[in-house]
Amino acid sequence: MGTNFGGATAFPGTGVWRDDERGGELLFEDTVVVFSYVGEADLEGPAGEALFDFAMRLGKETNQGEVGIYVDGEYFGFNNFDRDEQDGREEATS
Amino acid sequence: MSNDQRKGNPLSDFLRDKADVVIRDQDRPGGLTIGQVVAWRHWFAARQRLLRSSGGRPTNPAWTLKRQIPFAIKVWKDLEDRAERCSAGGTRIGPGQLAAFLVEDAVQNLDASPGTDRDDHTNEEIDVGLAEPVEDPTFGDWHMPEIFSGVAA
Repeated sequence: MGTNFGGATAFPGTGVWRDDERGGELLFEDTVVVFSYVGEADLEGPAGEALFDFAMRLGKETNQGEVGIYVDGEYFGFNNFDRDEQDGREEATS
Repeated sequence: MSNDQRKGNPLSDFLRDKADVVIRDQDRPGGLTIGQVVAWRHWFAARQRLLRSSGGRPTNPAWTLKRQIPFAIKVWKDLEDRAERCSAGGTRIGPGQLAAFLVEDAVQNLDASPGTDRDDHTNEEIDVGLAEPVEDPTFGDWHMPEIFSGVAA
């Protein structure tokens, strides 16, 4: 994000959710929210592809349920982190 | 501001095409803060783990009774809209299932007291003397939580 948007700030935090499959056990997890203030000019070009690739890698390598990107009042959630492999299989069979 | 009127930017346009879930701030009155978005996604993800599918619409196996419950058109439409947004993540969920989640949460909060098992989703220990299960083609394999079925009678 530093390369594509000129800078970013990460805020560590703690999230919690109730796991009803484990008797309502409260599961705490460390979360990170990253803010980056971006000029319109930086929204052009390869930034989107780089951000998307990072979200895919983050989700897969850290076993996330979903990685969210919030841009200008719109939330984009990514939870299918194997799409490259799936695309590859579809291409191989076509 | 409608979707068509929304001014896009190249990054949002790109991510919108790739995303599994898209939630716009105008989807709810007053808009969404980033905290509300995260909380909503978290709430639904936790409940999605309860659903099981045997080929049709996924359902919670602990739901063992079906009941017909009337809804105001406006409320049902709101449930449909929310269920559609929830389903964007992959697992399909119907408005009735979403209503069941909300009712279960509300009932558990009403009953919250020392000694009460707020997280028992089996319903099997609750004896409220209710009728036999009723087939309801409107909701497919969706089942109303037993604890709430007396209200519709």
